[in-house]
Amino acid sequence: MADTTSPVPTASTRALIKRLQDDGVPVRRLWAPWARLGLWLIFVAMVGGLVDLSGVRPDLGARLRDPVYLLEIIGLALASMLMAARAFQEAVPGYEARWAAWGLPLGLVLLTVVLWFSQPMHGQVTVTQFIATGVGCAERTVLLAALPWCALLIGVRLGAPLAPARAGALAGGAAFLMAALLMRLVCPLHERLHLLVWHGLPVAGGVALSAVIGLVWLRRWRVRLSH
Amino acid sequence: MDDESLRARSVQRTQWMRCAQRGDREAYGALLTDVASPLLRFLRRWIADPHELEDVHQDTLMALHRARHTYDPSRPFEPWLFAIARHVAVDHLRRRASRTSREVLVEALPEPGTDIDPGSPRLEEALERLPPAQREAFELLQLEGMSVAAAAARVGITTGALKVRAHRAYKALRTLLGG
Repeated sequence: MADTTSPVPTASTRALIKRLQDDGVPVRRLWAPWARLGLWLIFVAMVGGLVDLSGVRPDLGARLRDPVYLLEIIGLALASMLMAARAFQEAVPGYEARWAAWGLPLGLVLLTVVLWFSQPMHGQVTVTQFIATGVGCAERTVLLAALPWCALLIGVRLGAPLAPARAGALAGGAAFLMAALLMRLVCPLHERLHLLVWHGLPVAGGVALSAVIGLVWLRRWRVRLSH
Repeated sequence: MDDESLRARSVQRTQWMRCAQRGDREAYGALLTDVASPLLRFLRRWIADPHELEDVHQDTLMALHRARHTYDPSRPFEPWLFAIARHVAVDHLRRRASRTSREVLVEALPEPGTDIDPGSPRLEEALERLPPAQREAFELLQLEGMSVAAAAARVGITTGALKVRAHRAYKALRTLLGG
């Protein structure tokens, strides 16, 4: 039978409540997730501006008329934004994620992978050439992701993420997908292995690393009582 | 309590929290006092042991305190509150499971060491530093000389749980007494 009696807090709990009450200084309320997302996107746009200064691919205008390329760009942008929004929500307890909050960005990522798989494969490229042309893309992806990633992690850390690894993974996913998008505006290569290895793997690695960092760093908002 | 009363109470909590975020200590105290019992009732569904329950209850109140800036008064208060409570409880259970898996229960409890006089101030001081649950297990077994079964019955827990507490108490005492 369920116990329906109303439990009474112990004397030490009442003392703790008194202590917390005395420590109840004013706090600056966290901005709503959508407001923080807007701020992050402005920051990302500034990083994107740097890419524009450093030079986008010369045939970008023509490429954007290709529906597959356009779909890829839109898919990456939407997936990144949805993941960033979800990361900011993770910082606020009680935000229940709807199915679409998970399914849509994952579906868009999957779509991008499928589109990359559909690109032709150039068999004549030697391993040395493959590495020489690809390492630069991977490096630039990481460089482009770095600042938005840090900004997002700090933004999430300002809240109280209850699932720190997940929040970290989402932050990494958002930042690295955005970087992958910017790299697609720069890199002129449309080759399956190049895209999957040098554009895709940095994203996967970034998500994994970010989940670990989240697990360690984003959980520190809680102060545990010494038992 | 009918729906209307529940809604009114929820609105009142939201109002208290809004004031607490601005530094109103009276409102904050009223809120914490008001939610303490519902939280305890909620956590009791997860944790049976009264000492653990008290620890987790206090952890939850601390977490609420640390996260109070994340509450948005335009949203209902209870989902925010109970999400934190659920998180603290699950975290506690996960830690306990991981700790228990590393501990080996033995049939016979180890001797805590006979070189310390039960009435010595060093032991008393070390006991003071133990968590209440561990101190109680040690006192019942070693100072009052009760059997494991009798001590477990007195505390209201299983013999296994009592042995775990006693083991932890011995381990902590060995460290504290430099043994």
